[in-house]
Amino acid sequence: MNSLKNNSMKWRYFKQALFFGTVRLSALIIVLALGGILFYIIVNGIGAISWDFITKPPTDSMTKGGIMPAILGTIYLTIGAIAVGLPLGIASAIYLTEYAKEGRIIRFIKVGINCLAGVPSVVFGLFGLGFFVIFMKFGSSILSGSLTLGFLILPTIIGASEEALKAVPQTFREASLALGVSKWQTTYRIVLPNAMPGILTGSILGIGRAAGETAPIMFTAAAYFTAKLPGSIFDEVMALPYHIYVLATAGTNIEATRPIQFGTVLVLVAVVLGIDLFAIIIRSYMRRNKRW
Amino acid sequence: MDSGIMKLHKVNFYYGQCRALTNISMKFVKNKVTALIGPSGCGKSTLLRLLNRMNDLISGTRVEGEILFEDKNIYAPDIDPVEIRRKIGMVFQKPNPFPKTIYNNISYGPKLTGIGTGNMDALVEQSLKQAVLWDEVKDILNKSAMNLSGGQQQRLCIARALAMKPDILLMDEPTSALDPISTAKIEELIEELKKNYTIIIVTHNMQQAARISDETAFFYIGNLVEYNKTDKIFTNPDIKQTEDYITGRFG
Repeated sequence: MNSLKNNSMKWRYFKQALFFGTVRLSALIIVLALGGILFYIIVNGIGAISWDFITKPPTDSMTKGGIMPAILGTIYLTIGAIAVGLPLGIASAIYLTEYAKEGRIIRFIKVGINCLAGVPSVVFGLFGLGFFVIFMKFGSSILSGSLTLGFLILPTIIGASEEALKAVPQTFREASLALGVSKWQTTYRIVLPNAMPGILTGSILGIGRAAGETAPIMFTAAAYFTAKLPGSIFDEVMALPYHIYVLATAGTNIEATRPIQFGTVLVLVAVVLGIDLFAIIIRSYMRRNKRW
Repeated sequence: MDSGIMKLHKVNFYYGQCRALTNISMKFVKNKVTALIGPSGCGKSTLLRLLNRMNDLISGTRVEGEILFEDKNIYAPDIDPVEIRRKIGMVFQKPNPFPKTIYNNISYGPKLTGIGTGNMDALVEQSLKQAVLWDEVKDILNKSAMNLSGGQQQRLCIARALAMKPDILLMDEPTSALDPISTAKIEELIEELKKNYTIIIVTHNMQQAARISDETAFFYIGNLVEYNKTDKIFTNPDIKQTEDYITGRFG
């Protein structure tokens, strides 16, 4: 009897150890994969990085010189995507969580947003080409690229915003409404400020992804090479992800550009991780004054 | 008994298909404390939230009958619920200050609704004094309200409601989340406030109802069983069910 109990305990301990081992291993694999990628990029790319590399335009058919126009282009496109996606996404999320009554139309809209999140980015690129570049006659430009990227990250921003808005305690809304404050004022003064850290964090992570996308901008904004920097939002730009693609596939001398490719990849990764870091800093800063 | 500041006439209330209140007719007397008592789920909180249209926020609810405030039906189509809530304040079961400073918690309502056009500092001070919180917080008005104790937070919520200068103050079990000392303070406060306000309070605490209220209404499964002077209800109720509940035989 006693030994039977002992055995069953041993078996349980074994199962527990097995389970914890498995989940630990999963976490470890992820960290190793990330570490491996970063290590590989840094080792191969660090040699190309210099002050000139990030402040000078490419020269000699892109086999020499820097990538400054591409960095600048990516910054422009990212800011443009934020300007398009953030207001539209937050507004949609406010409508969905605060105003819309559950019903068939709302369910339809939500399914639509989820589908939008699943659409491959190259399809966004083609949509941008057809609609913004050709139909709206914006041409291949910062404007077209920003609009396309803005729509690409819209589902991410709506999702993050919805979660953040739902996380604001219902008691805050009730307290405000019970004072005779209108619904819009309650949303604007109480709900939105308290949801803002969550909205920004989720959205910026989406924006970081947009900064690294190639397909949506290759038909709508990105240029193979521009002799001068863009003067307006109707100009084409170079962009880091597309520049990597160009260097790796379409250059005149791919082998000669290898160090520049790795350097560019390193810069792009740094930009994306920098954006993510920015999100984390904002979140911790805004959370400092908040407790409930 | 005078005509009453608020009157209910044959009120039925439904959550979807489920009827929560049945044929309630009663009136609330001005400058008195009325306690709503009854076992959980009897509809007393639902009734309270009907009086300032807070139940509007729950979808699928339906009201029948009339609720008259100053002789106007607050559920008439031309009535703006936002206006109603300005005149009928509410204090909730759990203290729910905004994550703002103490000062801004008080000034929030008057500022946004435009009634605080005069001296805001004076209004904040007056409201906090009315809620007997001023002496405790006068030096920390710019600190977050979240740092206050539960009892202080609840008095802050009362002060916040008072800053709107309402006619009626609805209280939904305002002391159920508080310790006995904080509870005693709030009860003293209610005693003081009834000079200027009409107070309707939901409570689970029989002694509390007996201590602070002038009128008591006993509800059971969505029905108003008995409504009378508190003394009468607690000493010599007319209905057996009321007596059983008050003496603790059920509930």
